[in-house]
Amino acid sequence: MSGFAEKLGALAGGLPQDAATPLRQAGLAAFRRHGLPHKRLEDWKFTGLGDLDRNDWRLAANDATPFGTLPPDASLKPLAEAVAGEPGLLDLLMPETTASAAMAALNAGLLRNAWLLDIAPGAQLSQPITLAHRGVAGQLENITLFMRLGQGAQASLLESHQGAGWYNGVLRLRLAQNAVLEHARLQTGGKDAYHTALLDVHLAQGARYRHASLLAGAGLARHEMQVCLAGEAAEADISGLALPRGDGHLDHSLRLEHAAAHCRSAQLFKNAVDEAGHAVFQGRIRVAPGAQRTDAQQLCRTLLLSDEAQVDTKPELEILADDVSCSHGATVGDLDAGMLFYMQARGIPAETARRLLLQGFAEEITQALEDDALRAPFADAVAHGLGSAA
Amino acid sequence: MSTILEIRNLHATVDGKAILNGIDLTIRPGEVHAIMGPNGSGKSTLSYVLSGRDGYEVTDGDILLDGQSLLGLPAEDRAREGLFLAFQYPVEIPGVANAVFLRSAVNAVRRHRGQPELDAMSFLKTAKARMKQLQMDEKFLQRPVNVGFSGGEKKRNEVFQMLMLEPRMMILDETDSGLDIDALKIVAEGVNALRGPERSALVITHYQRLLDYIVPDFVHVLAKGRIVKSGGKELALELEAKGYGDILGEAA
Ligand SMILES: Nc1ncnc2c1ncn2[C@@H]1O[C@H](COP(=O)(O)OP(=O)(O)OP(=O)(O)O)[C@@H](O)[C@H]1O
Ligand SMILES: [Mg+2]
Repeated sequence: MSGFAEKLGALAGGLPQDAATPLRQAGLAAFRRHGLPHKRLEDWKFTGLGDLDRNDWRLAANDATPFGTLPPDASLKPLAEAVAGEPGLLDLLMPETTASAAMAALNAGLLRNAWLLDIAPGAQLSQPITLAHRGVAGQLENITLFMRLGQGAQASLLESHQGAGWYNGVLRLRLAQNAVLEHARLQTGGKDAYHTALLDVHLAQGARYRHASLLAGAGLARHEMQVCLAGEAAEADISGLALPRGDGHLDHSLRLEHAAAHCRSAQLFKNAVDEAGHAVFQGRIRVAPGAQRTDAQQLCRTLLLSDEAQVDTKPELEILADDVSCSHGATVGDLDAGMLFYMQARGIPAETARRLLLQGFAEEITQALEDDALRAPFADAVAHGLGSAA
Repeated sequence: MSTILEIRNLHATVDGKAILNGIDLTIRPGEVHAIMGPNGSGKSTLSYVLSGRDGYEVTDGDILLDGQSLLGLPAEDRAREGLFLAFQYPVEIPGVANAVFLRSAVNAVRRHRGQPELDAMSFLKTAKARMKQLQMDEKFLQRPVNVGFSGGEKKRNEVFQMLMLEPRMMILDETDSGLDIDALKIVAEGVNALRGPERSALVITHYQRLLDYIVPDFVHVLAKGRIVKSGGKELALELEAKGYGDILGEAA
């Protein structure tokens, strides 16, 4: 058994016995069976987690909620308490038991800092909900959030991850009919940080979800997304920007399923890779039989800014309906020499010109956010990420 | 007499191909020189070589700005020394607002001249005044540089940048192409407003019409990377009437 798995019993030993215990048991069993994902798994072929295989992780003993002030239309409960009152939740929270889902299983296995957040039907939140995490070296922070938006509710979510240590999180979002959620996610941890996260989104009829992710820190980060357009006329706009540098390894992996007809999805992912950084983008689109009039677009654009910079992209389309409009594309290049010359011909120093062009490259992702309260911190984090990269 | 720009026996290659084959040209303070010449004769190449574009290699000769050789100076330094190229094909830069781009440029040039940087407010004030001069909508400040601009709007934006940077040596590469008749007048007035005893211009054009507005002191004909004929402003009229046939014939 590997270093980390050996230590798992001790880590899990301190966890409470409560209504969530079946989740922990199922999660631990699945994780023990598979261990940390490795590159021999198709879904992990570009990202191995071998670095995490050490036995000196401590589980963060942090029970404080990671949320900022919540509005009256939002109700927050510890997940174990929620499961006690609503046993049906157990099924919804049960982790997958495949080898490639081992990190989510681990999250369930160590469930403790775990929450149910309900947004009342019809609620129109004027301020974003904030979820902020700052990791500590040597500690594994294991956050679980199950968030439901009632019918027609509208909200924004600002999620941020900073600091050191290892974050392993699972965030499940359930949008009821016509609910609208805009979600910005900033990962700007230090270069010693590890970050493994699953975002699982389920959209009912007419629901709209907009996501922008920034991976701009951490030695190794993987933001894995699974999005299911389950009801007709649902819409998802998923975008991400990765800025690996040093020897950082930043991975956006997305599985998006069109399970119902008349839905629209757009994916836009960008990477600006400097120094010996490594970016990964995996994007799978599945259009289920019967999901007619699907509109699904995917684009991934990468700038390789140094000789050692690397990118791996893997688009996958599985289309089982016939009346669909799907496209995908990927480009890899360097900063445009013509643009650089134009700027320098105006007296702008080469370094400034590069930074402006990189900001311009990132701008499209920032602009994908519609809520000012999300866009402003996103823009700041991007500027910071590029500033220290230049 | 002093010179602003002096081009001596300039030979240059692009991708190993010889394009400029010995150009000599002296431009004194306050003078406007026009360069005309058939397509492919090397006019834009000359403008890029002067402004220091990568990939344009000077194989012989020299370029002096105010007596100092520009060879070996990167494009950004040449611009800060007062050389300005209005591009034949202005470049689109997605995601970078015109105002951000131009303020970086103005402040880079000001720092170089030992002037204090302009803060956002005073930059905007000057920019808006210059845009008014060119009858440009202020909305162009917030739009990404040249992205989706019409051909004429791009050319006007070049001259707007030039008015903001107040260069000593203006090089205009077919700034008239793409401009409607009214815009041509407005843009020419913008250029004329900059004319003065300490500033000079090199105006590349195919059409005499521009030279009715920006009246040159000298007109040169470039063919196959060489100046094959020089004269006063009447040479442009002669070319307009007769084409290049005779001159190229004479030169051959
Ligand atoms: N990268 C290159 N490789 C090879 N030849 C080139 C390259 N760039 C330019 N040329 C050639 O150099 C010659 C001069 O081009 P240039 O653009 O300077 O002409 P021009 O006089 O500005 O023409 P126009 O009036 O059409 O604008 C042309 O024959 C062109 O094809
Ligand atoms: Mg030309």
